[in-house]
Amino acid sequence: MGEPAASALSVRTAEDLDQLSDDALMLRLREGCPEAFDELVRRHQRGALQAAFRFLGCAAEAEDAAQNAFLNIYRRRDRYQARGCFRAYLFRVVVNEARAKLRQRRRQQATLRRLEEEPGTTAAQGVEAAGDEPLQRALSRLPVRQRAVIALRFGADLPLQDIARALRLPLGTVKSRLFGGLQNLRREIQGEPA
Amino acid sequence: MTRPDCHDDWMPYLEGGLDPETRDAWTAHLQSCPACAGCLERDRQILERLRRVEPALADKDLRMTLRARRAEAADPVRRNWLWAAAVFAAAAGLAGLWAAGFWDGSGIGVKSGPDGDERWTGIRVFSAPAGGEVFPLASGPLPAGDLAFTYTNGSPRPFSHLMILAVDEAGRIHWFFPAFLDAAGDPESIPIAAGREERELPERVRIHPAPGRLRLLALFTRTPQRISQVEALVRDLTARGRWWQADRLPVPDSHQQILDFTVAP
Repeated sequence: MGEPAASALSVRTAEDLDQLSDDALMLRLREGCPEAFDELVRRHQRGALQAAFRFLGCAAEAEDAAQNAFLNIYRRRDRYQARGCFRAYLFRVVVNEARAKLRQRRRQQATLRRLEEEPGTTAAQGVEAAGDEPLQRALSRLPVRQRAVIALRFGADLPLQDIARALRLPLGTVKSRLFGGLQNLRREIQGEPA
Repeated sequence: MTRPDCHDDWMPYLEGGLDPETRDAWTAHLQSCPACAGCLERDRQILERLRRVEPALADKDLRMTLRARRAEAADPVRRNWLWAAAVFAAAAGLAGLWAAGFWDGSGIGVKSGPDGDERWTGIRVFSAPAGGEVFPLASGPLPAGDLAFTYTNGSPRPFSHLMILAVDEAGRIHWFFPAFLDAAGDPESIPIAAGREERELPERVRIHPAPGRLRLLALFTRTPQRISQVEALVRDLTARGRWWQADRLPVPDSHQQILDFTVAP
């Protein structure tokens, strides 16, 4: 008799893992294969970072949000259901983490404003934007609901159907938020000083 | 824009937001309208800027940082154990008061309480392989591939919510309904319709259980239950080695159905 089949898990190589679907990787992770998580991060980190950046407009905050999203998924690995929707699942968590960052930022800015009002204190305002600053400023003026759809569409390159799944919205709502958001974005950009 | 059929907003054209006929009309219009061609170019540039990768994050690799951070991540099971102990202590006192169900193991039409008012309450499980024939499953070997479910909820006092889960030989819990798609969430059991007709649940679900025994549990209730509550009860039974002998979870005012399968290695 040979070794039990379970031991095959421990000799899986990175080369094997990159052949597996996202669902299969989550199942490997549940079975105790941490390399499966590394592979999921490798596959999706770029989309998660860029989507968070388009939403937040700050590279440092985007990195934090993406990290927190992946950690959240790692912590809840036992509860994942393999239904072929990993991307939607991941990007829902990314959007939630980005929203949490936004709330945190607003609280900090409120504190800073209060500090500034006190005599003898000074405080920096706002978040340092990176890259295409006029674009990010224009994005930051959009309603959060429109910004989330735009971030997933252009940051993570998600199809509209996946965005609908991720945000748990009907496809029609996703389309109207996307095109309404893009229209608003153009107006904002046109209103920006050159 | 100089003509009545001119458009200022070309985003839907560029992003697949038009039906094919409208898109063709817009394309034809572009050939003869320099103003619209300008608007199209303006919108194309905005979309291109949106798609541009932020250079500060372009080469970022989160794997090393996450390896360090996940070592600090608490195992969710540990947290559930503490909670389970408290829930079970409270539930155990009530458990003896509830009438036990009788399982016939074959799906809808399960016998139940003394007045038989739950006779028409139950689920059926079907194997639904992609492109293959759908067939009902009784207890026994579990085929690979998708599973589909139907339910009947036709007692005089019908139930309002349903959960379907399974526990495999390794003690892992697999959720069929509700869908567990939000890592931070704690979803509730799904609402169900009343009636004696058999209704199909909307999704087909595939699980990857450990080889060995697999016990599937359908939990009909009159108030919504949270996944975390039910998991705590299941984990308490599995921890005490009583899951495979138990015939119900200590959930009040519920109807429960168990189907036992075996999973081939």
